[in-house]
Amino acid sequence: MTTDSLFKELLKDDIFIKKYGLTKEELEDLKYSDGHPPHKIIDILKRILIAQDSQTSELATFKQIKMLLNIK
Amino acid sequence: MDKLIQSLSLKNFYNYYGGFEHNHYEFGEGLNIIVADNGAGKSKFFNAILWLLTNTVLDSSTKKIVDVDEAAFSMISDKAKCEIEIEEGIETAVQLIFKVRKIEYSVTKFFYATKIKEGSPTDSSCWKLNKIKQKLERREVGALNFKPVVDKNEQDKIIETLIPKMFKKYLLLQGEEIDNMVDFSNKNSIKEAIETITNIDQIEQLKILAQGFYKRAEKELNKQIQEHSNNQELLTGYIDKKDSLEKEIKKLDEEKIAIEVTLAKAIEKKDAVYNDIGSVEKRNEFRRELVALEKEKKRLEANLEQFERNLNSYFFNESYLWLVFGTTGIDKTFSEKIEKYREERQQKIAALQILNSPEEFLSKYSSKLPSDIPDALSLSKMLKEECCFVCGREAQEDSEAWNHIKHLKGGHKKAKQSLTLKNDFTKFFDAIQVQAQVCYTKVDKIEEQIQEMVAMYQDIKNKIHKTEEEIREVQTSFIDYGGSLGEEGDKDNNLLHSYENSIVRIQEAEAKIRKIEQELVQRKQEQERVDKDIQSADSGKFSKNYKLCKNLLYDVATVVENTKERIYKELLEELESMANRYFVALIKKNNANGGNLKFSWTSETYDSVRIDVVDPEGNKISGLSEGFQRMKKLAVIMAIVKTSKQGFDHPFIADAPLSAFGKGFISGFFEEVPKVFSQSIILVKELYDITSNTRLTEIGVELLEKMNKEGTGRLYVNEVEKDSVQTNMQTKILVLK
Repeated sequence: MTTDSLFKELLKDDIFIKKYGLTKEELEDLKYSDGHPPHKIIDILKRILIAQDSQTSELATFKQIKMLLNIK
Repeated sequence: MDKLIQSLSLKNFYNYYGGFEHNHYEFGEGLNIIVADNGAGKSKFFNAILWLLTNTVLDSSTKKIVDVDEAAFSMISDKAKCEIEIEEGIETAVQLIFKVRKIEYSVTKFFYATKIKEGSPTDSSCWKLNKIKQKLERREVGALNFKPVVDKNEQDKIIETLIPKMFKKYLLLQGEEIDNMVDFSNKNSIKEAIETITNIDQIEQLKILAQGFYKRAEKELNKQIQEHSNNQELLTGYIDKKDSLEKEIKKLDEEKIAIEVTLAKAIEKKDAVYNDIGSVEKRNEFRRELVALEKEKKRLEANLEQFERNLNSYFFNESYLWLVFGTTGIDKTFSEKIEKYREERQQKIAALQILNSPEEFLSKYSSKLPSDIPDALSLSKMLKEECCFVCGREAQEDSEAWNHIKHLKGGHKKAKQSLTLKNDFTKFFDAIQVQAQVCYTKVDKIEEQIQEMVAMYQDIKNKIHKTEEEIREVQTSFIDYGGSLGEEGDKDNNLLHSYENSIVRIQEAEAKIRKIEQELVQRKQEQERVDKDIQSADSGKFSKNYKLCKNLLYDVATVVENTKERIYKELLEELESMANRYFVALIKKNNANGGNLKFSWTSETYDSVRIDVVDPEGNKISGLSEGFQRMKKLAVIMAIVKTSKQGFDHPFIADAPLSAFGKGFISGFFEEVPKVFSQSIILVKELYDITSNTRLTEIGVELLEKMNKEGTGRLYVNEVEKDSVQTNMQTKILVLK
């Protein structure tokens, strides 16, 4: 299973539509390689996938997530 | 197809005696078959592939995979060894040519052995072996010459492309190995297979990662709440309590996992012996029957012995008196003889009375001559010649003189007879006659009695014979159910004991897990309360994004968890459907119903897969034949390969995969395998028929015709000379297609 196909599988969860208001079409069009995710949760999800892919340290990735949410 | 084995050549490798040119196979896409009887080089061919791709070989005596260095000496052809003089050498080598897309590779592995002294070809001390070497060359498809690849790491990488390491277990299939590879009693083996082929385990790693981020975010949030709280002491207490609960939960989780491992092992053990239990019970039933039959046989034999011992008594017992058997009428003869005896005796008595009055006798017949003169012989002569030798006068027959001579002669005889009449047996014979009367009343019944006794004797003998037959029948059934004559059943008792122990261990483990789960529910509820207490202490004097971060990461962790569940569920359904499709296809030529395969995860954590065979109503089926079991496993492997998400295009090489198969299974196997694997090389003895001109069985001939018609694959027959010894063994390859 490639990271891209795993990303697609993760986006099938209905939480993105029900809780975060994303549409089915938006989710279907999303690609792992796209630069600007439509919601922070997608951005966080991608960062965790990248962390797993590139074996970036957890601490560094967590810092990125905090920056994304304007936490110092 | 991307990856294709084009040829394999062998040089002085086991019984592949001689150079590459004598031991060369070419292969194409689709089905390739090497048919060989036992000992004709199937496993040696498979070992050549193992050497080339894994640097190991299968030791046929120990059935263990060993490093090629350990087995090198035994790999050299014994026939070649026998032909070598001291200080001469032999090269042992295998060469594989394969194609990966547009590049052809030739990989050769070889070593030299030099004979250093005379001795047995199996004595390694007579030989010096050089280091095993590897050579790899490449060329573009269509190019004339190969060019060497020098770097050893690159060589190994190229070899790995043909069958990657993680697939070797499934694509280099050695007969019985299939049982270990897809072990239905070991649920982890299926999970491992799925994860190997699909690489799905990365989602498990992602789940752990996502949960880690959530914990970090929660910790950061709690830290902010604590720092900005009006009652830090109270909040510290809450946080400490939460930490403590988390540790307890973690500990309980670990305990639960450990017990689940014990549970899985106990279930595995129980499942492993489950099929044997039915046989054990049946064997015990046979044992009980055998004990009862042996007891009955002993009783009958004792009866027979007693009967034979009693036979003697019938000869003398007054009730039977068999001694007089066959003497019917003897009483009458006896009476007649007694009567005659009496008469003769009376006559003798009368004669004696005459003798007792000699004057009367003498006055009538005697002369003045002394007694016995003339003697009886002279008197007879006188009678014959009708002349008295005493006085010389004539004595014509029937004359007074002649009759006088005759009386004199009779007088001699009677006088002599009177001397033998000494004992009177009359009373003795009368007593015998009286006492024998009782016998003569029995004699007529003896024959009937003997016939009855013979019938009784025969009846006992028949019963013994029948019991012995029953014993033999029960023994045969006992052996059919896996029993061994002469053993006391300890093994079976251990098996039953082991089964019962497994049940107890399962029950204990399940009880412990239930208890831990209850404790976990309590701790988690407590944790939720503490969480609420912490949240209620939130002064709101810090960035709300900490809370947002925690919530987002909680949702991410939940999404990953849910996705994992969904993917595993879908994959399992797909596998189940695919495996059943192959299973049905593989057994379609067999009349018996093999049931359906039912896949299920064994726990909420998706850590193992259970495969049951069920009937259409979903009831578990057990006790299927080995052929069906093997087919199920093969179906699962084919399903795993076919459902691979990575794209699957590697050769499949199987040594003796059909050893437990019947005719119907074999046809199904050769029909289905090419549908899953774009190239397969199958080493098989079940298609070999020495009596056929083609050396193939009926199914083999059908396959050959089909391959000829479709123009795919290759078919070879390996043979060795009948009764050839190891030191002269040489595999000859017949090319049928």
